[in-house]
Amino acid sequence: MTERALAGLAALNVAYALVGLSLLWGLRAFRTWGALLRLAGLGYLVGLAAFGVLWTALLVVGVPFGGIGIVVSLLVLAAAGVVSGRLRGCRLERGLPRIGGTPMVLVSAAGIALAGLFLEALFRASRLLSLQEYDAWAFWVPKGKAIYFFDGLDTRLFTTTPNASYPPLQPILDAAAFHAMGGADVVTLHVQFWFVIVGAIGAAAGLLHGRTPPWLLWPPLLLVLVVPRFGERLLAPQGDVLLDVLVAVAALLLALWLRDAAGWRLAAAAVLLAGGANTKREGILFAACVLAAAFVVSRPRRWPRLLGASLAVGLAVLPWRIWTARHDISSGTPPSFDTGRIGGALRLSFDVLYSNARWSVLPLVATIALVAAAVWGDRRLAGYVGLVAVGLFAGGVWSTVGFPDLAITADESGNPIVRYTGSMVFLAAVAVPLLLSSVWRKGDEP
Amino acid sequence: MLPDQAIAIEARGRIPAHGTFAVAVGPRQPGWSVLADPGSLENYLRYFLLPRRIDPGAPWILCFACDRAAFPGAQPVWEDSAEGLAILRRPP
Repeated sequence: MTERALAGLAALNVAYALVGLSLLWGLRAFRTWGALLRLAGLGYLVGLAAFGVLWTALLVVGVPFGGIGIVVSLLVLAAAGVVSGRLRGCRLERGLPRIGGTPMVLVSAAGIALAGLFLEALFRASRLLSLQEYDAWAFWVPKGKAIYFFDGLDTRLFTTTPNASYPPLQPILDAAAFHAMGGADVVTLHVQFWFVIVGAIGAAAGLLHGRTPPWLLWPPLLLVLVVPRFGERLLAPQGDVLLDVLVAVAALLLALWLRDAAGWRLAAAAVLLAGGANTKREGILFAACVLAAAFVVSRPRRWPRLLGASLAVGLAVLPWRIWTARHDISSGTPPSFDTGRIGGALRLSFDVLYSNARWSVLPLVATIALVAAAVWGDRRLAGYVGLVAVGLFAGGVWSTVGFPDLAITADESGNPIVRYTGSMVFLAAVAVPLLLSSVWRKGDEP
Repeated sequence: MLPDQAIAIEARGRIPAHGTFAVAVGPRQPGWSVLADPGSLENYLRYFLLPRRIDPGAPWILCFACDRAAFPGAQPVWEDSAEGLAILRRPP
């Protein structure tokens, strides 16, 4: 680990944020510097997802991945946002985010301070972590190293590692990080995952700011960072946490879009879902759950725009699917459906979701918040969040039922259901503030 | 993961960056750590030694208590006889 590696990594991640903010500006997501600051976390995730989706397609068609290519692609993406904003007459005006009255300022300050303390401690850990996780050295990081060393999708490696059907977005980000660091430093690579956590918390807090009181916003966001399962796995150099945060923030964007119909939210959600679908196989299922729930609870006049977003996500998935089909790699969908395993799979998914030892009380609080919102709060929001959660839950049951080789156990060496359930827990963390604030405000849309 | 990490460090130093290597694994030896998993050795070394690639016909063989008779003419260039580990080099 060197200061040069850290500085390079910081520059790369600032570039992701600038690219995302440019794209959001082009979508007319903000008009003031204050709003820009509030959406910086979301901008980071959008920039990172757009970069990953773009390079997935470029690698499939054989464009070499290198330092110059990274810089050019970031500039092109940023220029697309800036030009679009100029053509649409966007301007940036002075203005700071409204923080609220004095007591609320104190609550916000306490939340930001606690999150900052935790993230600072996490950063210290990330600088010196060794690479231990099986999946990380078995295929995630080797794929990233292969893109870095061989400038593309090296077929000898990409077709022979475990889980060869996993899309390459996370390895692309790893390879870009190696270029930024000046070498394949798998220790400092953990800092890249720290940036993703910072971006995710910033995105969720920025989107919820002003729509939920700070005393409802910060407790779930802080809790999700420190629940036992994430506390020890947030920095694992794998695609799981990235997928979880992309899907949860996309689901939050769509929840807000259902309320205000702001087009930029739908477009940003589509970019994040496309990123999730190119991160892991189940990302396609997660994206389908989120979009299907939005279809069910939205008014028919909004369906054409939702359909457009769904098509965009589907198109973004195509390049990798074509590549895997061309190389005779199985799609990775469950090969069977043994009804005799349904009962055990249901119990397993339920036990894992409501495991205090893994997720603390977050899933239980989210369930109570969901029921309370359905009875006393925003019923459409409760319906949407409930449908997304049921879809994700059913997907987990399907995976255990459909892969006969998977043991019906929470042991992660025998069944990935614990990793899978992380998406529902991140969804809970971003949905609880909205659900409870709708109850607090007695169903009024904030 | 490895019976002894010295073999990985030695391999990284001896095999050229764009060279190729093979991994040959024999029976678990009494001195190996319980964490050393013979079934995962090749996978781990593929990760650790990149950009060096795995090739069954490679000039370099990382031998973990392997049957050396399977590689006629290959000479050890590094050895840890207590653990049954060796780096073999086939004649050009």
